[in-house]
Amino acid sequence: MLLGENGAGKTTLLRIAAGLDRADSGRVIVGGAALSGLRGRPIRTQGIAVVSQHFSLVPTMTVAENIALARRGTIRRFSPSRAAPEAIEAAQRTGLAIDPDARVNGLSAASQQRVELVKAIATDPRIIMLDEPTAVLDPPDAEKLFAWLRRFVSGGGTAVVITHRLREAMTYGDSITVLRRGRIARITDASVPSETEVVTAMVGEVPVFRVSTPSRSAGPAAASAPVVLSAAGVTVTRAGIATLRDVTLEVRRGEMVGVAGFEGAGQADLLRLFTGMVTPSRGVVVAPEHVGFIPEHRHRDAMIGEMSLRENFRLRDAGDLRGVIDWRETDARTRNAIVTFDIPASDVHAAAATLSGGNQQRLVLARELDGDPPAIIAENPTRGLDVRGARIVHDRLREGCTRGAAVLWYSSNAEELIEFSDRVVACHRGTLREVAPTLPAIAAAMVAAE
Amino acid sequence: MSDVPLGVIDATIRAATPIGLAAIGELLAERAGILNIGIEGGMCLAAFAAVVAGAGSPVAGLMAGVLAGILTASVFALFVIRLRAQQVIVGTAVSMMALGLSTVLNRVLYAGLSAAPQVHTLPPMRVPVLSALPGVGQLLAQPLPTYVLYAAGASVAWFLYRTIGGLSLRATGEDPSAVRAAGKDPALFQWAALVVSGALTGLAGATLVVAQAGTFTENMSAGRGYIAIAVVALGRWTPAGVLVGSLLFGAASSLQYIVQAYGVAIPYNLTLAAPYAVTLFVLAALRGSHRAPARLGRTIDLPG
Repeated sequence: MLLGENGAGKTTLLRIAAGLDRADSGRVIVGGAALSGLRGRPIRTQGIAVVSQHFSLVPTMTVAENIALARRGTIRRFSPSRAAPEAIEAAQRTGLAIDPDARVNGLSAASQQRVELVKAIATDPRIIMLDEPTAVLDPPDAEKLFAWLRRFVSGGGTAVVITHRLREAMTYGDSITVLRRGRIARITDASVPSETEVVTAMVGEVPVFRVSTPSRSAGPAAASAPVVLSAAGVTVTRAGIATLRDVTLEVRRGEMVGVAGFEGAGQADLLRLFTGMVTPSRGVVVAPEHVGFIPEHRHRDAMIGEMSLRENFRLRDAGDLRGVIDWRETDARTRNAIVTFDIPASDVHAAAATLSGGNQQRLVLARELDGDPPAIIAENPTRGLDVRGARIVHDRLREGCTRGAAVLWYSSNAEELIEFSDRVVACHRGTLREVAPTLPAIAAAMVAAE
Repeated sequence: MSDVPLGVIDATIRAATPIGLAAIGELLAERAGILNIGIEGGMCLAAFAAVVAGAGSPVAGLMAGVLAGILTASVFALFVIRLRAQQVIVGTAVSMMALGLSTVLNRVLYAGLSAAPQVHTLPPMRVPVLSALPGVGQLLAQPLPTYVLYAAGASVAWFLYRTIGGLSLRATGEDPSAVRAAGKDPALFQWAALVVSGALTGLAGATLVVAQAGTFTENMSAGRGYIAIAVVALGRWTPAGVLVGSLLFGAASSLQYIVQAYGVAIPYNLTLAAPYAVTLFVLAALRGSHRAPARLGRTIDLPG
């Protein structure tokens, strides 16, 4: 188990250990022999399987084709009709559900993560390296994954897992390595330390969060506050299947509403209704013209890695056809965001891709909250963030709320929803209902609407 | 009168052969993410190589053409894959260089003659039994490259869709980083695709000389390489589509026979322009109904 804050070097270490990247100095020893040769080659020869945080699936190909891609050989036969059963067989070893005939670009982040995992497992590796595999998985799938990993390890395999979830590391790991700013801060047996000890090793100070009560300064919005976001009797149908059925929801000014639900329960379409990205087939949706939107796939949907920070910051207005960009003003706003969101960037001209995942998320957040939009929509905004990164997201969302924004957010982490939302609604097979902000109530509502 | 349709079909098949060969090769390269505009020049240089070696035998001419095609494609591959240069720019440069080289060599080598020498052409190969059929049978007596074209089309289809290597090659054109993540080298697939593509382009050029004209004229490829690139798009990046597309262009090229046969009063210049006009119209009509490989024409990102 590899732990550490965003930018601590976890991914870098993993990629070097797998032979995907080369170290500036030092050697990597696998099974008693030093790794050498071409980049990427060691993976094949050493039986190492890697699942990166950024998916390495071919978006235009099917799930079965992507899984077959990991197989060796050139003239070795590939048959579309046999690839599907083979993919299912590999998936069944773990219990993770995949649809072999689906095209990857139509899949949710959680489904893609399942495909990545099955693809890695299908190669029968000796060593498996997973970079934050559970960041987007539903809790039941995460459990299946760890159950498989335990079986894999007891069968003689080696597993390296990066995670942000302390409990996961301590429950399933044999040993925990904590990284802090590129150095190993602590290596320990998983059963020994307390949670606080590990967190201390990660952040280098005694953490004060969790002790503080949620900063719900404004309290639940007054029932008299104007409704900013509203959906009345909305049904969304995609290819004949209803993803939302007769859903009604209102979010008032200064209110933060959390949405719970497993992947595919309809929350994605619910949130995107208010951004105009999803059109209802029935019902009425009311939303302000400008909505701050933080999408789940931030690399794919929220920023352009090759472009500079300031250009990315300005991208929010990319739909405008009129207007000349005032770069001086943009620079000032970008610099301001860098400071207030604590983004470690040298200057506004740096490419967005040079930031770590967590810091990219901060940039997106800063941009979408800039100018105090009347409504903020956030999809799983703390996905893959460490405690400190998640806290910044929570604080900023609450802050926007206090300033009068209506906030609607989805999170795969129910505890987080309870802690920071004024109200919680749960999605189940396209239906929506309000639930009490307690774990058992939410869990029950996610599984069945009644 | 009944001979006229068969004659037209025969002319269609003949005209489709060089275009189809180059297009099947280009298809392979494009599925691996590489747009090789250089095939126009490669074809012309191969035609010249074929006339030089064709003095020995037609088969020697074919082999020389294939070699010239591979050589031209390798120069292109070296710049585009190894040195990571822009594909369209290198392709244009290679095309112009190869075209110019064939012209210069032709003038140097055959300075004393008014034109390149005549070489023997390949005899038609009869398909046993079937070619004895009345009517249709006479279509089944084509020179070797025509059979190679349809065999190549079938082989490429089998490779692309039925082997792991083909899957990896297609993935290279869509998302090279996914190929690298699978522990394979995307550059290797691009090299392989370009070498095979070069061989087929070379064969296409040699066909013009050894199976059709029997001699070399300057700028002999006459845009067939570019048409082949259009045919790949027209065939929606599938081998079967490419074969059908090249037959369509073959038909457009043989339009002049129909015009002659039926005595239609159309200036011959118009019929000569037909294949090119068809290219434009068909591409415009198919706009949006197909999808090119996602990373076509783009240099692979460096790992890490």
